[in-house]
Amino acid sequence: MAEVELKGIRKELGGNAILRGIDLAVADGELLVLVGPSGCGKTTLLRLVAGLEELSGGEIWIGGRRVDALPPAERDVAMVFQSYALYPHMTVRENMAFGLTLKKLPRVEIDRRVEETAALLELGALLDRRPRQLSGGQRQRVAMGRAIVRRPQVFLFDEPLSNLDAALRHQVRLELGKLHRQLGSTMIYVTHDQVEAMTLADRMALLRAGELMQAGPPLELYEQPRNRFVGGFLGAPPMSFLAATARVDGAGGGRCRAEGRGFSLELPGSFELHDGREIWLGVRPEDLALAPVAPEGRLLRGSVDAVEILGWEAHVELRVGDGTVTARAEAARLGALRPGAPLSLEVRTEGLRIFERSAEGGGAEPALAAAGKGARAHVG
Amino acid sequence: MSRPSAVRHALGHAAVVAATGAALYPVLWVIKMALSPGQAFDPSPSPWPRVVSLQNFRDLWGLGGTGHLWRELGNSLIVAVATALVGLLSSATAAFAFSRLRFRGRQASLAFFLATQMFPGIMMAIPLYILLDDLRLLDSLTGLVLVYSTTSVPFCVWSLKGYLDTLPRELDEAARIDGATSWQIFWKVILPLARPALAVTALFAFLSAWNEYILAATFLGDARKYTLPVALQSYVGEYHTEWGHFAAGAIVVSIPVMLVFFALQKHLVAGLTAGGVKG
Repeated sequence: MAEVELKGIRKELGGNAILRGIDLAVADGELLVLVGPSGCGKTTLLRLVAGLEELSGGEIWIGGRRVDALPPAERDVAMVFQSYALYPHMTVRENMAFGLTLKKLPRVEIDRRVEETAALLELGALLDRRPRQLSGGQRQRVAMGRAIVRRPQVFLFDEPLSNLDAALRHQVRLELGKLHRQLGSTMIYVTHDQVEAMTLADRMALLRAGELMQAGPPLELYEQPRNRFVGGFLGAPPMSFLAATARVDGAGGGRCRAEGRGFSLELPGSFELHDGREIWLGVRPEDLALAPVAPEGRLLRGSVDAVEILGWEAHVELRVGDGTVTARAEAARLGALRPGAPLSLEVRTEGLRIFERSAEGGGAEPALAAAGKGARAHVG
Repeated sequence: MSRPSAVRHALGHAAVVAATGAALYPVLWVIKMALSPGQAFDPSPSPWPRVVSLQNFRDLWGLGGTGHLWRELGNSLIVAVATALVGLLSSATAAFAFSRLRFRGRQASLAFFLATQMFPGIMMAIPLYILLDDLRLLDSLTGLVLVYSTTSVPFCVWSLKGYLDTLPRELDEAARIDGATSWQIFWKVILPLARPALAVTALFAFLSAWNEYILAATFLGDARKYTLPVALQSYVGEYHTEWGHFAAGAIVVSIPVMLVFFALQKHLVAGLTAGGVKG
């Protein structure tokens, strides 16, 4: 077990910057999830830690030892691949024992460890099968077994659940979380699935185009997104954004309002914006409620764009001015709501997030303040 | 089943039967000549012999005749097996390097290997003759194996590399993380998975040496070193052709080829890699 430290990690491939200076630390025994859209560099970062790619700049430390010049075997890491990468010509037992055999461990010790790990993962009955005789879920467990049996300092997971069907993914995710608590090992886990990220992570690092957007406990990222990208990435359905302008009623200390095309919302007292400031209003679906009557400063009026019914719950897309917001509602309460119908939603304004609105933001404009969280950094 | 499709069915079968007949007819003719006594060329179109006799085969084996088929068969086997072994051993490591390692001059060497395949073998006959003469390797099976390997190794490298390229790289990476050296990855992971390709490659090298005539005829003057194709050709004279012996010899030459093919057939079936990664 060990902590991992990444300092100023840079990676270039053929003149393209894949990673642009990542600083990140993983504590001993912590499960860090690297998450982000495809092409953000999360898998590259994992492969750099594994030693499968060479750094263009920066340092990698594992357990107080600088490892970025060492070959993968000497870094004492184990990796579970997205494709599992089991050796097709070897049995499950041979697959798991391969690394130990190469280390020239005594036969007895190898057998003991393989049996132990197989018992942990309930693979005992499959030890003499070959990978092609296993189901997807079983292969996935063998891949994990091959990592666990080596007792590495750090486990690396590269989207290990993405080849499983939805039901199995849910089950394996639970098992993985349990396994992490049992082993207590340091793990770095790459996924593009925010549900996996939210549920498994002790801490989460969100990447975008080779840059670290925010790192912290999952709920912190959800509740206090540092910029508009983080806000929009987490949550399903995602946060909606409305372009607005801040308006301050009366002289200093007055109430602050957000005005946009087709709405005017009253902001809670924790926002202190000066008059005329261009902002993005971030609205989470759970902060919108169906409400025919609501105070004027908490009301969004518009026309229905689309209704998605998922069973008990439904998602409603509402067009407000030139933007749209997504609300979550109980399907039974919607009745026969058709696209084009007028609809009013009540906004829980305490849940609003406010981001800078500027031409050069590129989707990652910084947050101005988070209501009710006391994080009033950098108030305009 | 409706009528038009039944007609189409029958027509399809007729076409297949006709094609099979066209392919088999010459083979039957060779068998007929081999089994007919005497050395005359029978111009009748029937593929069946009028009288069946094994005299031609007896003559070839040297039973009451002048043939030395045992010796020639032995020579051919030595040359073909040695060529296949040299081809396989030197090309497997090279193919692994070309497929998996990144080194300076990789592309250039690959292109160079390909270029050597672009010259017809006969163009090299005279330079090779001079070389072999200097090396005192004329009239020697060792010399012939060397000559055949110059053409078979580049081909084997390309064909094996093509197969190795299809093996997922994650397997190498998993093995590297497991602590395997390049040699161990080659020996314990890649080579066992490349068995189908190794079989095909060995078969090719064997066949190319087994069937080769022109270079063998050029470099082998001593009748005791003759390989089968050269010996066969000796039955075709300037004024007189021993058709019976020639046909019987042709059949004997083709039998080992068929045996090798059947022996390697199960390895020719791909799919050994199924299941290692998602499949």
